[in-house]
Amino acid sequence: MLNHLFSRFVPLSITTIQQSLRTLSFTSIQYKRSHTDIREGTVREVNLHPENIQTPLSIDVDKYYGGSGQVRETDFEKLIGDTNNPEVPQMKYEDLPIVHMKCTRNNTIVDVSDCTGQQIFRTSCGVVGFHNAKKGTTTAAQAVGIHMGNNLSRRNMKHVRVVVKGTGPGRLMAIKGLQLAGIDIVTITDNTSIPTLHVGLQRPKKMRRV
Amino acid sequence: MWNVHSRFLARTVWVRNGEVDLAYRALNRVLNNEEVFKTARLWERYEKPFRKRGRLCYEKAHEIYNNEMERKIKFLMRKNRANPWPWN
Repeated sequence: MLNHLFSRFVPLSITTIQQSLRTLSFTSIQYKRSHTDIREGTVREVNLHPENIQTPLSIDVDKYYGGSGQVRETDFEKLIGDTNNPEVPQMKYEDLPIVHMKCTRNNTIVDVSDCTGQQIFRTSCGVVGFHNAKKGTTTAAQAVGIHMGNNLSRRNMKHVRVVVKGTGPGRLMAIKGLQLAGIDIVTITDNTSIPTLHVGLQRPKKMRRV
Repeated sequence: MWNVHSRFLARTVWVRNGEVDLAYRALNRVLNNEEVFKTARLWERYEKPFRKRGRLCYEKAHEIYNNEMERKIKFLMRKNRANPWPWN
């Protein structure tokens, strides 16, 4: 809106030099998220590490995402399995079992299912031995992860993909528990439910006032 | 890639060299940039219109303040230059 106001006051019937000066003084202030360098316009505006400049063609995708995790097209075509064991055949990504983790504020529930979607096994913090408020803690989530990991290794399912749902204390520690039990995690996906606006959207509960 | 279920194409992160922590952190960084957790938290409980109006006003004012402060700091940092009269 301010852009529009300022641009209207540019006069037209003046010499070229004066006109350019006038336009400079009447340039609009743009309100935007400014992520420009703080050293702009100073003498010390020197690029100390020019080798790290990344052109669009030579972007290091792993670095852009902070080290690791960026998915590439070729990743899904890799065969996953133990290279040391020649007897056990390597599996495709589509045939891996899925571990669902529902992490709510008061509990974490963990499900294991086939590649088709059939449920095999299920645990939660209550099964492991915690009660009431202690189920919604990080230690309980880690115990659940370890319990699930032991069961999986007993059934010879060492390579697994993980799906996480919800925000809660057990989001990271359940995955860590799986890792501690010796399971190889291939991918982590996030499936938190974001309600989209549509005609049949049910209004959530009212705010909690304590 | 085209045989994989679409659920596993979006919001996935590959674990490389057994480093689960870094992968999880990368996933969280991307989700925070896209404000996924913020919207999930907002929709947990219903936000009445008067509260929504107040929140939007606050966010706009906050953004304007931050931008103006950045401009001011950029301007003042131009004083941080070599002394043109070092013999004084």
